Amino acid sequence: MARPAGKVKAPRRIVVLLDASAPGRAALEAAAARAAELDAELVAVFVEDADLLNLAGLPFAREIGFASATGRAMNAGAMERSLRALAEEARRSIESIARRVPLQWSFSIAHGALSEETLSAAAGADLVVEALCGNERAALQLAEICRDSEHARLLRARTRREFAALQRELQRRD
Amino acid sequence: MSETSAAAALRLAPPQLRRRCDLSTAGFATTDDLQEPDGILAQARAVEAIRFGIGMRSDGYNLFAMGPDGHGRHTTVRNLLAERAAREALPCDWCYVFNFETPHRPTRLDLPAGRALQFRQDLQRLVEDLQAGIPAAFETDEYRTRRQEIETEFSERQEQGISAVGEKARSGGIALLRTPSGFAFAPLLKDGVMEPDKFRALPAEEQKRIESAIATLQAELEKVIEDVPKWRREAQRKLRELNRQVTRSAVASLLEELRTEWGELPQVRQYLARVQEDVLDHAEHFRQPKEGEQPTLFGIPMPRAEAGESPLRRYQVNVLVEHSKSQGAPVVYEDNPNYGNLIGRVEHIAQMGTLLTDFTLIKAGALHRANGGYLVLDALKLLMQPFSWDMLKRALRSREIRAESPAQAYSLISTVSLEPEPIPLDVKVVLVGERYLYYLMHAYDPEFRELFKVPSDFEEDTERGQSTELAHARVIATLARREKFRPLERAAVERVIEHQAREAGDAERLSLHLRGLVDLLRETDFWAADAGRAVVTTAHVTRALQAREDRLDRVRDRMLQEMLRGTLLVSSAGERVGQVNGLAVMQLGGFAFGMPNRITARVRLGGGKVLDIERETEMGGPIHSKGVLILSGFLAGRYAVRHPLSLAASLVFEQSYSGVEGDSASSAELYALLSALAEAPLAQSLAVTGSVNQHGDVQAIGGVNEKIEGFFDLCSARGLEGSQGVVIPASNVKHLMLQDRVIDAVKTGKFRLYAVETIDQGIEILTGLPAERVNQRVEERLLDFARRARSTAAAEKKKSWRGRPEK
Repeated sequence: MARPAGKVKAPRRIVVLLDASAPGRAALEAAAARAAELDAELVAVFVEDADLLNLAGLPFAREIGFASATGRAMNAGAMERSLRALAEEARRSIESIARRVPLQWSFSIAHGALSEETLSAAAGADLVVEALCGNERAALQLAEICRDSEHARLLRARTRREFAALQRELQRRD
Repeated sequence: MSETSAAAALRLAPPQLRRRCDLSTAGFATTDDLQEPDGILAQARAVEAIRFGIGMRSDGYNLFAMGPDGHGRHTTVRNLLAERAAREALPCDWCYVFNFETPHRPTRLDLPAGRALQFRQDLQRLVEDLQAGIPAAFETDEYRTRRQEIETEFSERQEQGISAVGEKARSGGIALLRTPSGFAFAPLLKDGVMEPDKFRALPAEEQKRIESAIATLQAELEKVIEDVPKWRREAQRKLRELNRQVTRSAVASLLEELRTEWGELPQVRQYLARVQEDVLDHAEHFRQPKEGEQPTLFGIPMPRAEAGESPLRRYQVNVLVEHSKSQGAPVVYEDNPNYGNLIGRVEHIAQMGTLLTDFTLIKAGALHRANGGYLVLDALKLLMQPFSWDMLKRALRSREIRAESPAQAYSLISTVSLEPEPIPLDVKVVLVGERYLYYLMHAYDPEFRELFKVPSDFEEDTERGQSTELAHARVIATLARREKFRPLERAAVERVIEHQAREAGDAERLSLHLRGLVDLLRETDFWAADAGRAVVTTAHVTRALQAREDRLDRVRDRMLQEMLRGTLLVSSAGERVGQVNGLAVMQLGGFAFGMPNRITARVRLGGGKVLDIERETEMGGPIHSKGVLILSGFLAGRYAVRHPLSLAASLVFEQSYSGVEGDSASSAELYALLSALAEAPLAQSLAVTGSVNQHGDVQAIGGVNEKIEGFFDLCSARGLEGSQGVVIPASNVKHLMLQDRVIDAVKTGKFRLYAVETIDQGIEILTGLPAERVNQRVEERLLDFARRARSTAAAEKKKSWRGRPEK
């Protein structure tokens, strides 16, 4: 992960892991656009946040709206639906990029833990973008795989600042 | 019937029949040798009035140039105005600019004459420069860094607040989670959120403890989040201030240039200051000229207004009136003086089915263009346009131009439109119209009297004399040159001038109908061209006049034919009691001609009434009736002073099937009546015209030339034999401008003209008897009637006495 920037080759395969958080969407769109430019393959995995589902299942679960600053009750069904809707939105955003520029891409949804398939895809990638704000387990799995891999470079994009760094990284011409 | 010596003395000699024009002393061969006339032909009164009116700068001294059509009113007015305007100063230019405080009231700017276009250009360039300069200022690294600082400060503040709560929660074994739309707290178990089943498996107290801990944390977080909008506002304020700073640096230098250029004009300086403030507030308009990005409404692409990107339209300058290419005060003639053309209009642009407008769509009217100068309008056209006259009066009274639609002015609509700041008005209006319009407006419109104090009355004819004839010749020469006609030789000019006298209906006056004169010259030029001549001669003038008559004389011709065929009974030979030839003038489509008409009278014993059959059948006009009633007065006053007028007479215009008006036949009627009373036959070879008064004086009538020619043409068609002629009033001799065919016949003794002053002279000519004898017979007859009437009345009385029932 901390290799000298100058020796990085253009990635052939980019894996993006994202969840319901806002930086995830932005990171996915940036990566997709770059992948299309480089003619690289894009693998997107939407990780359904286990913590969020667990939270929604709790009897006293309440959510405080960011814009309204008021609390409201949560339930598991509504949370699942909203996660599905977010995943679908993410998928559509890649689709719309792929409509404009040829792009080889795949999109899948993981529930809590990452599948073997996803992990091997990440291991074989040149660039792995991680934007998992509420899924520590999956993030740890990913970090482990990338550490063991020969060439997979892991970039985190959980916060605004990290996202800005990612964008700079993606824009770099080698 | 023989002519008495007294009658012979009343005959007119050929030179009296047409006053010839003689310019042989003027020293020219053709009109090419003549100079332009000095001044305007014979309109001294009108010209003086116009000079006075345009020289008078006070309010209300507007002009009304009145007179009949075709007498050079427009030309005279325009020439005099142009002459004066050329010596006057150029008025200032007028613009409308955006009003930044109240946008629906555009602000007016007056700029020194001829500079408005430059001002518009300068502002246009300013906008272009700003479009380049402002985005450039925002693309500097300095701006980017400062902006990022503000943004980072905000987001850090926000994150710090939230993460502080998060830390606190974690220390109590509770996680702060980000949900798709906010935050939530959940108990932790190892490194994940506790699963619901496991939570339920916890002891009840433990559950309660966690729940209450979470509730406390939630309250804390809510407080933090509530502060976020405040921080955001603060950040936005800082950002705005930063934007203004950056914009100001870009704007200041550009506006400084304009300020040095236009600074001496306080109005402009004020406006530029407002522009600067507005640009600082709306810098974003200059930063987003994204091509091809169409505005949409519910996803439907919306047509963009044609005239460029609208937010920047507000910096445009709408030049209403500018004088960069003019000299002197403006003289404007508005041919179509409708409301909008006079006062200007506020136009609209249709967008998505609604009509939009702004200050750039204010259009100037004739009042704007004439402001500081002169406006000439046709009075009739002005009055025929709805609302125009009222609006013009309002503008003149208030001395300002308020560009509002009639709908606005009369409160017919209440939708918001523009109310442009009124423009001060300083204009001299000249209305050109017929006299009756002036008199009508003067009588019925009190404001007209106040606003149009100077009437300029144009004459339709002028006195004829050596000098006016020469002036006329010069006008003819000028017209011929201006219209590129062939030159006229002197005799032709004389012939044309004689025609002008005939047009005036007076040998001692000349018509000033210039349009008719130009038409005649054009037609003579045509006939000269037709004959392949380089110079117009008398023959061409005669030909033109003849051709003109030929084109119009179908009706006259038909009537003459019917007289010759005996359908219309008019005698021109022999004699008859109680019958005379009267003369009437008919006017059809600008062509007047005279026609003889048989007038007859019958008398019998009666109650002293002269019955006018025309009046009884309601075919006689009031003037005609008046003429007939005067006859009764004459008869009673002259012949029946001491006894009652026991006469019943009837008078009629034979074969007249439409109305009769005028009293020019009253002398003829009297002759017929006297003839019937005296049983003295009247010569049918003569025709009579002239009105008569109660004393028996013969008075002047109109159309004398046409009347004489009318009877002459009938006689000449039947064959002139020397005894035929016309009796006219002596006071009409000065009007004689007869055609050559009549004069030639008089010269050779084939036709006679008599001028009479009294009925006695006329009766002597018509009866061939001395007047005293006729009068005596009339008196005897009337006395006889009176006696018979008396005896009849006595017999009636006796009869009625006998017939009375006995008591």
